[in-house]
Amino acid sequence: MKFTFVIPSREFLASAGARIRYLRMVSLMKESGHVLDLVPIEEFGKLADPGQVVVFSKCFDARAIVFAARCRAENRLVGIDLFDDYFSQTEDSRMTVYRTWLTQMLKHGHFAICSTPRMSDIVHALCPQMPVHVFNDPATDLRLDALPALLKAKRERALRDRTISLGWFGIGDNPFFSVGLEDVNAFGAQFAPLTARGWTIECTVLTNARALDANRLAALGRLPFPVRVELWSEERETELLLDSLCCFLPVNAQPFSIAKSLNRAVSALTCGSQVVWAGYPLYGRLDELIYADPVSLIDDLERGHLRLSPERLPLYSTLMEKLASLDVEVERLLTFVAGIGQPGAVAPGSIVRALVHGHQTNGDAHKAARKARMLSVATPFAPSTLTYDVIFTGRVAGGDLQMLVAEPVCERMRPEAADKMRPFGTIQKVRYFAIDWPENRVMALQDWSTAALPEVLAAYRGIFPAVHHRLEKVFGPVEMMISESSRLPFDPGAQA
Amino acid sequence: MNTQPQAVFLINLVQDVNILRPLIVMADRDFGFDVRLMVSSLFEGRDSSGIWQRELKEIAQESSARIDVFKSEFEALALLDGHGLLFAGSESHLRGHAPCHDVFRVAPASYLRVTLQHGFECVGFRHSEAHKLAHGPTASFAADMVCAWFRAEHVDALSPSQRGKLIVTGPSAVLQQFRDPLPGSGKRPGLICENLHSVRLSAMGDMKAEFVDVFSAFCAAVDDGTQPAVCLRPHPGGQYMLRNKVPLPANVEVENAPMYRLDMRRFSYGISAPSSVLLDMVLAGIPTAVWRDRAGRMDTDNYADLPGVSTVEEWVAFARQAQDDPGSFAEAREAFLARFGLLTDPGEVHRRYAGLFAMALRNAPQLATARDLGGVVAVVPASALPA
Repeated sequence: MKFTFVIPSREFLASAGARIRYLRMVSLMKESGHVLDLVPIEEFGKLADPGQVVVFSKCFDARAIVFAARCRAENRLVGIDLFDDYFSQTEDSRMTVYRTWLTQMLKHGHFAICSTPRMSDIVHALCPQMPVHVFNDPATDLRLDALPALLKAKRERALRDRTISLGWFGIGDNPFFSVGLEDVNAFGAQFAPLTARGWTIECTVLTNARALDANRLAALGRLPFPVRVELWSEERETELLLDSLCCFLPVNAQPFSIAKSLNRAVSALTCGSQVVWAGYPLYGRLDELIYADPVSLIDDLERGHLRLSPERLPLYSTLMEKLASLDVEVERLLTFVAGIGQPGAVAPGSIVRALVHGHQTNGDAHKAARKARMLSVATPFAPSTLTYDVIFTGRVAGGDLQMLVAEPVCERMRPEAADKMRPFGTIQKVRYFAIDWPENRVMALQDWSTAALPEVLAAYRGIFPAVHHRLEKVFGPVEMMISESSRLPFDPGAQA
Repeated sequence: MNTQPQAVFLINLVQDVNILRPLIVMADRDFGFDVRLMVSSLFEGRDSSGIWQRELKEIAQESSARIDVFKSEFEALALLDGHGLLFAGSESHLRGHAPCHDVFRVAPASYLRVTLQHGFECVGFRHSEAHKLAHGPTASFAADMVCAWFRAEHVDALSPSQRGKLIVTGPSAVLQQFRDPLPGSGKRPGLICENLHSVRLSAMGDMKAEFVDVFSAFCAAVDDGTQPAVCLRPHPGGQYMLRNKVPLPANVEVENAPMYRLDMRRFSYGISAPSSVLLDMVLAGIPTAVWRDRAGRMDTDNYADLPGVSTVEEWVAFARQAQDDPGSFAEAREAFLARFGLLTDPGEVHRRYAGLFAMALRNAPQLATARDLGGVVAVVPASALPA
């Protein structure tokens, strides 16, 4: 079976998400006779054959919606891989764009893959009938042979130097949420009692440059131990984890953080690093191997009973097999996909698909939609720079919504609608016809680009049902997709 | 780690160069610090003419100082790899001062952080009414010590939380005054300084047009064929008249040299809106007048002892008197300097800054050990640092 995972960009392959989740999967799939391609979304349109299964990952714009609809029409299985929770914060207007995107994607997807049970619950709540599979982030290498010596050496060195080498690694910030270094700064004081017991803490932080602003650096400077900060790289992460006695993994309890996978704890454990967590019990499934309190870690270290120790490797092995084995995860994924079965054939031409552009859109989504013979439709708020098949102008309130159809798509109209068309004029060198043109009124394109934002936000909400209704009157049954890239809370509403 | 105590100077605004230069010289010449100039990446963009980059290079060469550019606090932190003194010419919690403020906030405890007063009316030290409107009545510093130009009772914009940081050192500019006799005599041009970018000319209403109009009318009125009759000095950071391409009369010459290269004694008089340049004029001993808007909206109280000029007739009358009887303005200058207890004796100012440097040297071993007590050490690969 051929799988294509569609990713946001080539650079994405360097991120921890892609690295842990997909790159390791590629070779294993190959071994079991399957093909898994990772394709940046900008190249997806040119792909001759994406295979039977196409999964979209982190492509948060209308291109993914158009391609998902296209793939579904081509009888391919369409999946959505979700491993960050930008969706369940329904009271947070900054996330509107993500919620709108997911609502659209869920309409076209056959299944979802999630990184955690929590993410799976979120999808289930939004779309109860959708099959969801939890694909745990797999570990690269369990190091079962190397761990006994490594664990012994780390313990001996800590006892000899009376020093805890402490590591923290990862993305230190997030554009929306307080995460990363802010969690370290919030929970770091838990290590203070160790100093009182005569232990020295040497902490190394590996993170991204953007996170290292004055606020976070100043807060790191106030932790009860010295911190050495370096920029993250995959090599440095492995070096740090192989060298550290312990890794500190504090997690706060906001929805975004509690939907995270076990991957950071797994990475630490597989490098022979003890784990101390704090805050939300995200790593509960690994409880027997990790610590909630640095003081217990020291007690165990001094007594010689560390939770991750050569004697406890059978337990470690069992848990890793259950929660982070690449072979197991890939096998489970294949079984899951096979269980969904082939999608039912879609009768060609039975429905018109339309990509309806909101306040901000994506030019490539517009091109992809037209290439797939979908209608590209402008709401009154859409940017005037694209050549649309259908343009709506005016305002919903008061029934002043006007519909203009470009000459090349007039042939697709229902005959009874074609009777009502009257020439409107030329826009961007294309001739348009007005439908339902009230004879005695002089109408022009209404310019919303200069309107006050509150007015646009208020008018926006009702536009999609109205547009959908008018499109169906003119073209017959229409499957509507919404393209909205604005970071402002442009909410199409649940009924859209 | 470097074991020699460092004197590190943060340079962000172009006017920082003038304020810090005398201390850079002292740190190297009088105390043998390892001198470092840390320049914010925003500096280059502000130095539209390139003057200040050349100046910095020359200063660095003369003081055996190393120049590093930092793009972020993290890079700055990586450069702060030793112990000693860390100076900023413009540092406060205000947005414009953020680059230095943020470096101060993250600097290791092994550096004693020193903020210098950088103007006569200066954020966090003494505010005009315009400063109060724009920035509030006080400002705060991330420094350990703040160096003021005049007696503490006149430092009335200092937040109560900052009072313990205050020391009075006097303005560093008096350490780079011209002393040699002025060559030649004959007719000398007048000096008009503009700081039209300043909140002083906008906070109480827009006074920029009024200044430009009276300046143009004045230049026409004093046009007797002398070239130049007037030198115009735009504020080094603001450069308003040049950036906005305000047409200049033919008898005007632009004078943009750094203050320490401009011997103000070669001007027969000086006129400016409220600005620290008035103090430079006073220290140079030339007749000095303060421009006031005709409606009197601008707060000029801190300069109340100096004669004020508004209309073109007043400008012309002042210029005439300055040329005919320059001695008649001496009393006003003395009154202005005396009112705030401004330290102007170069010997005394040197002694006070020297005390600061000497204290840092005495305590260098303690500062060095402070590095091991905690805090953050940034490790930036050499390839990530700007060349």
